[in-house]
Amino acid sequence: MNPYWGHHFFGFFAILISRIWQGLHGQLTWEDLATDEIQILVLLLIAASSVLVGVFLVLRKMTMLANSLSHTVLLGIVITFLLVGQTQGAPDLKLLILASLITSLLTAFATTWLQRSLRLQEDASVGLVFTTLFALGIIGVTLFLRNAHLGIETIMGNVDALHLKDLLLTFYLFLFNACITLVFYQRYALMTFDLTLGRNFGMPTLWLNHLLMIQTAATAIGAFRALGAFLFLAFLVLPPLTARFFTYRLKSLIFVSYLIGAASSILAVALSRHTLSVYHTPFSTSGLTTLTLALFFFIGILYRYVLKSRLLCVLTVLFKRRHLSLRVRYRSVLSKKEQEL
Amino acid sequence: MKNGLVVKNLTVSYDHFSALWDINFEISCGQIVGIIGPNGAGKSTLIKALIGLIKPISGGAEFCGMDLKKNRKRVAYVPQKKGIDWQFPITVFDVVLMGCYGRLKGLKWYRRSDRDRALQLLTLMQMKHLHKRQISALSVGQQQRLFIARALMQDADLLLLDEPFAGVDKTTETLIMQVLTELKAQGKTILIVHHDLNTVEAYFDALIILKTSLIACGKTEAVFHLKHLNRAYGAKGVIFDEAIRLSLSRFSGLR
Amino acid sequence: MKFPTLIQFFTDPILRAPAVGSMFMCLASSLIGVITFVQRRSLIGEALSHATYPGVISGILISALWCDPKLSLPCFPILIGAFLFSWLGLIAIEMCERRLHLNPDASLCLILSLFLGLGVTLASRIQAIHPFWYQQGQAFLFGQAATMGDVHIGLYATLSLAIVSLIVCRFRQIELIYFDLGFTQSLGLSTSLCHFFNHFLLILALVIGMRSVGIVLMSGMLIAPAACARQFTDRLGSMFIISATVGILSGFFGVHLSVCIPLFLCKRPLHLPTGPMIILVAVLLTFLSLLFAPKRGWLARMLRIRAARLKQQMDHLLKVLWKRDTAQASYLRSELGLSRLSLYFLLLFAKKKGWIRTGEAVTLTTHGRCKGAYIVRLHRLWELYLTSQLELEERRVHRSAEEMEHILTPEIEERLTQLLNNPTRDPHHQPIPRKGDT
Repeated sequence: MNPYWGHHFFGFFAILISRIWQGLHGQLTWEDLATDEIQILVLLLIAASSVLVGVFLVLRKMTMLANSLSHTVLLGIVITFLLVGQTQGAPDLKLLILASLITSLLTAFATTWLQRSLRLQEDASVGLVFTTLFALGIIGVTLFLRNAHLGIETIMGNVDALHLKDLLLTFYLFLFNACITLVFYQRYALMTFDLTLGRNFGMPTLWLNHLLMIQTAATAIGAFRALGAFLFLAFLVLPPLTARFFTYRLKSLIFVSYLIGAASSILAVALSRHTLSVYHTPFSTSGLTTLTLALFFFIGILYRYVLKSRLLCVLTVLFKRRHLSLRVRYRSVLSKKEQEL
Repeated sequence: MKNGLVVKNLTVSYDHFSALWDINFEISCGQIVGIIGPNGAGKSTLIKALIGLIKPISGGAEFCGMDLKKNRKRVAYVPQKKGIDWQFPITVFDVVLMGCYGRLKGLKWYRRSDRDRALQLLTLMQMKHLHKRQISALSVGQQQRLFIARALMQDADLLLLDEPFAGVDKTTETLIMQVLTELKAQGKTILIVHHDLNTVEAYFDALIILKTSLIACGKTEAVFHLKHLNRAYGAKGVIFDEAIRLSLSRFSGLR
Repeated sequence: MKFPTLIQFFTDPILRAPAVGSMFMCLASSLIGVITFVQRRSLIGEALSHATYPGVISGILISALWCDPKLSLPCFPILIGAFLFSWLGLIAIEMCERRLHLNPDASLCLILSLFLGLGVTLASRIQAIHPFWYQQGQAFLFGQAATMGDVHIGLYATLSLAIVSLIVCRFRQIELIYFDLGFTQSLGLSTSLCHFFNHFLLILALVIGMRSVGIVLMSGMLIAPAACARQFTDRLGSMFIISATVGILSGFFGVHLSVCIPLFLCKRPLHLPTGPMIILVAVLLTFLSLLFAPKRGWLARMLRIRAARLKQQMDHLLKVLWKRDTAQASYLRSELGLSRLSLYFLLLFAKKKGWIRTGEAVTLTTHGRCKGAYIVRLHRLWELYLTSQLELEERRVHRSAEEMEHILTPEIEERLTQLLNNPTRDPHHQPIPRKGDT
């Protein structure tokens, strides 16, 4: 029996805190975890992995490439399901990872090749690569799986159907991302701010680029079950963009982005439980996560553009003309006096 | 002044930072005027505010008695070359033709006379053999000549040029100045944002020295001297420019 | 099973609607795609087509309440909902770029994920409650061209006509605005009406085309024909025409192949999904144009590079022979750094041009001697220019001269001769061949 059943928003937090307290005192085991808690943990881990990758993607203006990757990772997963799933049921995790890595590298290489060798515009090359691969994917699905159609769940994910082993998967993913980022942090930071300088220092920028792409693909696979192929983009893009309203330094950017991602995840699960209990309508938790991330984004806009510039300046802007024309006349008198001296 | 450019109380501000402060000057027609000043002095901002690309907080400009913003047909603007997509599918000829777009009526298709005039201007700029080329195939000097040809196509009485000689070879610079001097003889007014102090006395009849506010405006002989340059560039920079001028004049055997 | 003939695609009632409808849809999107391509904003189609998803879901809700499932009309509430949300998305993107000063790339991704998330939240609500309409909404995600009717032909034809008339009437303005916005503004012309129409038609093309090609693939239809057209021309007018042709061809052959390939492969009357087939045909044409277009294609560039390299090797050969009068093939091989085969072909080519004589050893003809002297002259003139005029050190000028001797034109040579006053000795005190010897 789910301890969160029937509770509204604030009741959810009350129960959550009490269960954390119980867990810290050793009264709860891993098997006792409720589905809601598994959801929270999975989303927290996904947020952590995405933030480590997303910050660099946003700063290097590669987010549409990540979007393209998410489409083609879907292709890889679908092909694996087709080739293996027909005979064995659910395919092995390692195969999934392998297939997705292959398609992600294929995407990255193809996009770079179109840009460099064939001299196509950057935006057009990104767009062409993923639409081609996606089209091939759909045709493949139709040819080999005549009865099935690409279920919406494969694309949109289903947070509400998560199990303990998904938690393990996302944990490994987080470890993977954290290790790579720790090891390559200085290089990533340098490459983000000044690519030419990095090249001058002899950094293998091309390979580091591909490493970042592999990280993105890995995050996509890890987030696939929970958020689906497309929505993990929200986790990649929204937290860093929101954090930029509050801070400019790289380390604090990563930290604040994680806080935002974590807060949105917990809020989303709480909201989902609330709507289910109070209004008896099930909303998709993955969709709700995007909405809570958007909420934080709007809070960020509010902070940066209204509060930070102080109310006085807003008033000055409104009454600028009247105010400044007086100042101009005063100033011109002053400068004339200055010239006479 | 009835004829000419009159600017009154022009102030331009971005957020909390003033780019231009209380600019007042008058320029009579038929002159080539230089606008000089250090980096960030607001020279480009002045030109953009005159043409209406930037909204000033206060003040405005009048040309020949009429408000400049309402009189756009008589003004031609040659911008700095940043922000142009050189891979755009357009040829040299098409770019020059664009100049007469403002005067087209109805369906806005170019006439035979427009095309002939465009070819004429390209010949004047010594670029007729390039007229079918796509614009990425041009050198920096040719690019500048192209945009000046487009401005000439507009048949304007007031020309505003933003750093036309930046990065341009000597031949192009001489050719452009030649063309502009001919325009001056026809009674047109030309304002040029300039960065090279060595050529100021040779090129300009009048000078505007700017550093956020107006430091001086008037005939070159009267205005181009140490006191004003010191106020604009700060004493440090002026010594360097003096030394360069001295060394150039010594090596070419003058004085 | 008989393969349907090409004419049957226009006459047969089942095949006609997908074929002609797709052709008009591709015409519309390829024309609008040129405008987004030259602005370098091709991915806006991707962002806006994803942004329609919540609109599709809202349309489904409205249809479920008011529309009759048995009617086979295009579901207008869904189309209108998609249009409105896409428009909202466009406004949001503009605001992100202008007011929030976000990078265009980031703002596209932001709006994409935001609207998609909103759509998914709404969709989760509807899935259980209105399953029939939910399926209809699915059709918009992946497209179902096969279920198009004659009504769709009319719809797409009207849209294409609107786009063609906009482009024909406002061609110069479009060229002006998207090439140099600052210049247009300095002329005092208002650009907002043109922008409005372009955006309006872009979203209309996306929304209506989604029905046949699907949300995800619609952006491909905007990009591929324009990219293909750019390879063949340097003018905007021709780009529109070529893009339209490529669009129409891919529309038709996409439908054609989606019918014929399954017939060919498994001899059963099965249809491949039309949307992806159209995209694949368009992308194939684009890929071929990127490789093989004259002047801009990869092959043409490779050939030009090879030709330049061949000229370079030939010049080296003539230079070496000029200095030594005659040489053995083995010496040439080591001096020029070529393989036996490359040297063989080089010598064959030179012999055909009449510059060398082969036999025991390789010797120059008089013609070849003149050519060799010319190369050496250019090399030494350039070295002298670098040392005397630009005051570089003598030991540094050789490499630059090695590169420049292949590049200098007769006009530059003339100017160098005048500038250096007809010199006779280079910086290394070697004689410069006179003009007469070349």
